[in-house]
Parts: sequence; structure tokens; C-alpha cells
Amino acid sequence: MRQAWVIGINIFRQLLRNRILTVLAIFALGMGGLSVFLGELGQESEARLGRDFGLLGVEWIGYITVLLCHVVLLFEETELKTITMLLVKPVARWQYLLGKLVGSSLLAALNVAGLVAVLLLVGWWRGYSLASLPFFLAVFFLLWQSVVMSAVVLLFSVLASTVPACVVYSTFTFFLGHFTGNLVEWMAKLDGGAALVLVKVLYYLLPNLAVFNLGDSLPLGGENIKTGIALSASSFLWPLAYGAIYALAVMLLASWQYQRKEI
Amino acid sequence: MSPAFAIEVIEVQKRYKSGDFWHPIKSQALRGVSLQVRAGEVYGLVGVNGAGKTTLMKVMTGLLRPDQGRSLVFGLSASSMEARARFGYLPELPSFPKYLSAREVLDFYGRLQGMPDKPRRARVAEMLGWVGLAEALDKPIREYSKGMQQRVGLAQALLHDPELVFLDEPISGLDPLGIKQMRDLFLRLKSQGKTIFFNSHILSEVERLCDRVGLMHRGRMLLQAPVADLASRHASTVTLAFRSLGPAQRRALKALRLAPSQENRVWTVAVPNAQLAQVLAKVKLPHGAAPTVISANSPLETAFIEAVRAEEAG
Repeated sequence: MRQAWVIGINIFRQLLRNRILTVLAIFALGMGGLSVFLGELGQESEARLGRDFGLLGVEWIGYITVLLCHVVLLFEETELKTITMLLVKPVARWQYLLGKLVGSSLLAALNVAGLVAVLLLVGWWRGYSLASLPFFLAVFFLLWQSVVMSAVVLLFSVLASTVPACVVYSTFTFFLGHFTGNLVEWMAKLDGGAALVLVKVLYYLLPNLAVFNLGDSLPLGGENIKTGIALSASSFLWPLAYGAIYALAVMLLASWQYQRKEI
Repeated sequence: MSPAFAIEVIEVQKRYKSGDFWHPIKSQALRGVSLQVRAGEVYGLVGVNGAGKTTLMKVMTGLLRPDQGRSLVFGLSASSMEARARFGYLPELPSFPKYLSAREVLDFYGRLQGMPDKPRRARVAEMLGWVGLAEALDKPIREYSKGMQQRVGLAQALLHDPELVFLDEPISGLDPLGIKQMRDLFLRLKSQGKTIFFNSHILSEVERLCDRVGLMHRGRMLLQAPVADLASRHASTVTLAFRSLGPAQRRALKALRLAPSQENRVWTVAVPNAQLAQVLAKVKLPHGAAPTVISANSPLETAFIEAVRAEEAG
């Protein structure tokens, strides 16, 4: 575990200095500005729009951060061959992958924290507050979703070995992962056969990302969203446990594949 | 009991797969290679590009798994953590994360080797000074030249003071000063009793630096011998070119057990240095038709050329 942490911190530092990631800072500012603009145009309360756009931004910035992290690292590994010197050190390959997960997740956390700070400043400027436990919990679970997606992108980076393939497979999974609930409805409508088997396979393979979206379940509405939590502890434990188990399964698969890979 | 060899490679075979699912292409990179390197020895592996030298080094360092055979480092599997802690590795044309400085990169590798904080920091500064990067140690690596990156690679290979060092083409890409520094490094490591295994296609440097050499060609080990033995068995030669060579002159060369060959109307013949005066005396050339020296080969070059020709002749 110590080796994975050392690798994770090094990857975090390395990515932090990469100029590609300044794009994300611009994205964060853009999301803040957009929520103000739409708040002024829209019928709904500005606080609700600020919250909804903020959480959407948190979800996207988390995913784009982990995707870019793994794309940059995959490019360095395949084109610059930086990996050979690392893998002859006393480091197991699974420790290296875990380090990548740690580094990318830390950077996602930093970017999300930056966006949340922008959202809170915008709220303060516009006269409403997003600073509430429910809001922070919703942010936390979206960040947890980014960790799960980081494991998924990592698996595709190991399987695909090329940057475009990794981006396409990962983004496809990210989009489909929001609709696994619809797959349950499809299964109910299907009588059987190959289509049902295919839908079932997809249902169990794809991450159910809707689990991490607590924004709709939490009592965040109203002008002032400093209301308490109405949900039970199990409502929080389930996405935590589901995310951990799914990420672990994906990491095991990625490690198994990476162990066999020729460098 | 300590193992007899620092490196032991036993009948290693390696095949690469490329192409796609419908058109798989398999190429045999290593064909039953065996070698042993004793502790404290400097071993040079030579061969033309594509001979399998880098593949063999990757197998020896545990980066590649052989299809058949075994590779041991100090009697341990090359991919074991215990073995990896005991060797350093410099790949051909090393590259590093470009936004980190040399100090940060070395500090990271030192942490992975489990070096404690204080000695690690001191050793990083010492190694960067030793490879001549003391003034550039906090610059981002993207501002480094290829030669400077090669030096950082060397520093990381030696950072944890390993007993064995693998160097893949350490001289290629270096300027004359860099080559001189690399020679000094070899001598210093050798005086410290380190085992050095390196790949190169620059035969003169291998001959100058190594105790023993291995000659590889098309995935096979053609020859392994101490450099001193090769020097005694294979004389230095010069290759002479003649614009014209009559039947009598060719007979004179054959009588001296030399084999002239003709290509594009030019006759060439490889002559041992010791026989050179005899050849010029026996082959009576008309005035103004002196031969041209087109190359001079060291004993290792001669041995290499002979071994490759014999292999290709079947």
C-alpha cells in the first residue's frame, strides 16, 4: 500500500503541473458563470438553478479530470515509455495501477473542491447559500462516482492501449451508466431470448451511476437550502458500498490484465 | 550460500505477437538463449539492431516473461521484489515525466526503493552532481537535452547503490564527452566490484570496457568469450580494396589463405595486420596501383563478422 501511495502522490504532482488541466479550471469558472446567467433568465429560483448546475458541473468535472489523467498517463507510458524504469523497481503492477487511481482521484477531488468554491462564491455574490450538509453530501457522492469512473477508465486504458479507444469506451460507459435504471424497465418488457440476455449482461456489467446522484433525493429545494437530511443512513451506505465493490472488481480485472501485458 | 552467478539465463525463448485477430503475425525474438554472468564481471552483449538484445535485457529485468526458459538474478526470479531491489536498469533512450525536475524524479525512485528520507535526499544530490547535473537539478525535465535525460536515467539506475546494473545502449546518443564520462563510470563501478551487463552495437567500446562478450544474431547467442580470448584468437584486420587484381595476384592471396572477393569491379580482401607487409610484398602491383584501406577491424569486429557469416551460411 505504501508503494501505491508514493506512486499516487507522484502522479498527482505530475498531473497538477500539466497544462492540459488548466482547461478544467476554465470549465469550473464557465459553469459558475452559466448558473448565474441561466438563473437570471429562468423561471425557477436562482438558488435551485445554481445548485442543479453546480452538481452537474461537479459530475462532469470529476469525469473529465479522471479521463484526462489516464489519457495523459497512457500517452506517457506508450509513447515516451516512462513506465519501464518504474516497473523494474520493487513495485507490483497492481500497486502501480492503484497509484494511478489514487493520483487521479486526488486531482478530481482538488478540481471538484475548486468548482465548489466557485459555486459558493457565486451564491454569496447573488445572495443565496449552497453551503449545507445535504449539498456537500451530494458533492461527495459525485466525487465517489468519479473514483469509480477512474477505475473504469483505468481498465479501458489497460485493455485498449490506445488513447482514442480508451476515451471512446470510457465515455460510452459513462453515458450508458446513467441509464442502467432504464435497462430494468426493458428487462420487464422483454419475454426472453437473446435480447433479454444482452440487456441483463449490460445491466450487470455497466456501473449504475444513478446510485451516486443524491441531488434529487436530498431536501435541497427552496431559496435557502440549509435544511436537514431526511434520508436514512442506509441511503448513504448503499452508494458507498456499491461504489467500493464495483471499483474493486474493476481494479482486480485491470490488475489481472496488466500483469499479463508485455511492456 | 550465495549463488554462483549474478545473472543466469537458461534456454530462454520469446515470441512476439503482432498484427490483428484475423492476421496474427508471430516473430521469434529469442531462440533458446543461455548465458551466465559472474558477480563483479563486466559483460557486453553485442549484435546488430533487431538481434534480440533489448528483448533479452527485458527478460533479464523481469519486464517480459519468457515463453520458455528461466532468467535468474542472484539466484532469484528476475521479477521478484527481492531481485529488483538488488539491480538498477537504464533503458535505451530513457524519458521521464516532463513536468517534474530531476531531483523530484530521483526522489520518487528513491522512495520506491525504500530509502529513508535523509540519506535519500543526500544521495539524490550526490548522484545528480556525479552525473554533472548539479546546476540543473531543479529545472523541469522538458528543458533537458537527450544527453541530459540519459544522465538522469543513469543516476536513477545507480541511486540505490545496486550490486548489478543493466544498461541498454548506454553510449548511443552521447557526445564524445558523455562517452568519456560513461567509460569513467564503468571503471569506477568495476573498481567497486559491481556487476555490469550492457548492450551495445558499438563494438570498439565493448571491446575496451568488457571482461566478457556475447555475440547475438537473429535471436541466437552465437558466441560468448572473454575479450582477452577473442583478441588472441581473432587478429585485428584491415580490408584492402584493389581496382584490379589479376589471376596471378589472386593466386598469391589464396596461397596466403586469404579470400579476395569482387563486387562492382572492385576486389576486396580482409588481411590480418600481421600479414599486411607480406601481402603487399607478394601481390606485386603495377606502379601507382596501390590498394586502398577501406576499413580496419578490431578482433571483436572480426569475430563478430565471422560468426554472423557462419550463421548465415547455415
